[in-house]
Amino acid sequence: MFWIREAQVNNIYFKTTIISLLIIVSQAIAVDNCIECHNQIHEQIISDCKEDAHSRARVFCAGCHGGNSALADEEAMNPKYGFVGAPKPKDIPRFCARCHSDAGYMRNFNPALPVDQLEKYWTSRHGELFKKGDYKVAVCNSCHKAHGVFPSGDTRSSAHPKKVPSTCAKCHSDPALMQTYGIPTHQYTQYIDSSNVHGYALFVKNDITAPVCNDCHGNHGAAPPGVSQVGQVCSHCHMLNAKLFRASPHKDGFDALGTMECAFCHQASPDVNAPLARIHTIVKPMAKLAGTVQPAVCVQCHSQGDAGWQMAGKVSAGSDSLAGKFAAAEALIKRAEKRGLEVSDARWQLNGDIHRAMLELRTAIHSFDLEAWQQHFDYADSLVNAVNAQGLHATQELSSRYKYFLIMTLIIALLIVLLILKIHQVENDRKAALTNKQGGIRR
Amino acid sequence: MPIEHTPNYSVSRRRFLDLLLGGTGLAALIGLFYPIFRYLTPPEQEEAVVSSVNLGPAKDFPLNSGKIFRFGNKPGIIIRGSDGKFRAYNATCTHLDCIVQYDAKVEGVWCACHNGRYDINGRNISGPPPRPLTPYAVKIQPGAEEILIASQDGAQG
Ligand code: FES
Repeated sequence: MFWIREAQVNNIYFKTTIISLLIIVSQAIAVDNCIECHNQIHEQIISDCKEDAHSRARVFCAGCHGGNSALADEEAMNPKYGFVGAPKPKDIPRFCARCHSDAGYMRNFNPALPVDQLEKYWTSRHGELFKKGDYKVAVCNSCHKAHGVFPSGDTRSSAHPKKVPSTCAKCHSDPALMQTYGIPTHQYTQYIDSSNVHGYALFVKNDITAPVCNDCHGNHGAAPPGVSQVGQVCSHCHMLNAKLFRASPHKDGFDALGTMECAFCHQASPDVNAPLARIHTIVKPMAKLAGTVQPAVCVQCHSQGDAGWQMAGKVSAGSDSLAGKFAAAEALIKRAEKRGLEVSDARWQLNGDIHRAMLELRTAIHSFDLEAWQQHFDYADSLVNAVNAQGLHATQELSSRYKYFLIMTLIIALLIVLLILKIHQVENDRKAALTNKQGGIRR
Repeated sequence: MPIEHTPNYSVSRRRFLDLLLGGTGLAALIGLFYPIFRYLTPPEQEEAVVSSVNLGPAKDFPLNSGKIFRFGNKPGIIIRGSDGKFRAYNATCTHLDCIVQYDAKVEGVWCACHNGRYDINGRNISGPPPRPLTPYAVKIQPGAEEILIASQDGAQG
């Protein structure tokens, strides 16, 4: 009996396999009539969509535009089949949201995909204006494109980190468009300026985690951070600096002045009379930023004699002296290493503890508390001094080798000269003795 | 009267001998001074290659803690999870080379420079770090129960 059961099971497997194959084959040869007819007139659109996120999820033309793709004539575009054609800008947010705000539907494709884009959009500057009837503002396809939509991690996506700046710049660098809103248009040029650390990291160092427009302004809920929120935004990466800043007396002062917290000091050429002028070019932090002479930023608000001025002077002098000592210690250790001396402990200190202590010192400035800064300074200074001493000790050993070598060379040279003289003397004596002897015989 | 050519054999032989003597003397001098010269200008030292390091008894590492150690000239971090398991990594952040630290509150690795985070397995999970931390192999020496760290490929990690 067993063999009969086995044959039945095999039969079921056989049938299932055939049916599955038929389904796959029929899907493969199923013709999308939208593509068949629009191939010529919308060639670019069709090629853009070929591998995009929608196609991969098997959402083809009719998935968004409606209609019946099984029909091969104009009847396919009969509204009775839900045909909507190309949506007008005023309809786009709700058009995309039909699927993208439907958690149940989106779960079929990617359960982790957020479905709150529309909700956020209404809170954005774009959404606010849109609600008021301004349809020139950005909608979904302004940033994601209508056709050829890729996930933001895909380099082909217009929302990929490396493309975001130029995507936003399409509108935000357009003076005619931005004039309507009274918004400046220099953000993009400032961002791509090679002195902007973030742009440099993104474009030159290919660091796609470097912040782009949406990291500070938000994406679907895009709006400029308020004057008092900048520190919060920067704190996502520069956590310790922002924490110290927000607890410092500067926090309230900056907010009152409308100086955009972190961005004010760290922009290129800060100017208190135009505090927002270059906030999209955030320059590499340098010691000279704190001090009492230009280009130090402190002088923008502090004047000679006040507490801030005094602290700036001390920080600047301390930083300069420490930087000098550090450079000297590093050069010393490098020289010692080059000459084969054992200074691995010092090297370890330089790369490890001192590197960290210097970073902490730089961070401590943001507390604007001289005492706290001084503690960090003393610690870093003592470490650098210790390494300097190690380097000096090692190089002193080397210079005693040189001295010893010089003395020995002189002694050997002297010895050689004396030997030569001695040989000459012996030779002369021998010759003289021989001459005397011959003279005696002749006589 | 034809000029008589009488080759001066004795002079050329002496000259040849002098040359030979001088050359040999010079070679001897070079041979003497070369080692001294090398002693004074040693070749640039390669970073000492360290392929393993002993961190001492396992019992010295509390549960849910991390510690920075020296692995050649590079910083390493050893973590003992609350599961008692040891894990070790090169402690250089894969973003901009700061030294990472263990964050016991979240049982993960944290980089203070730009708030980068790695999980306990060294995988970059948030913030700027683009790659996981480079792992080291951890062995517990049988008998002595001492922690031995070795780079995975035997070279300095
Ligand atoms: S250096 Fe570690 S997060 Fe930037």
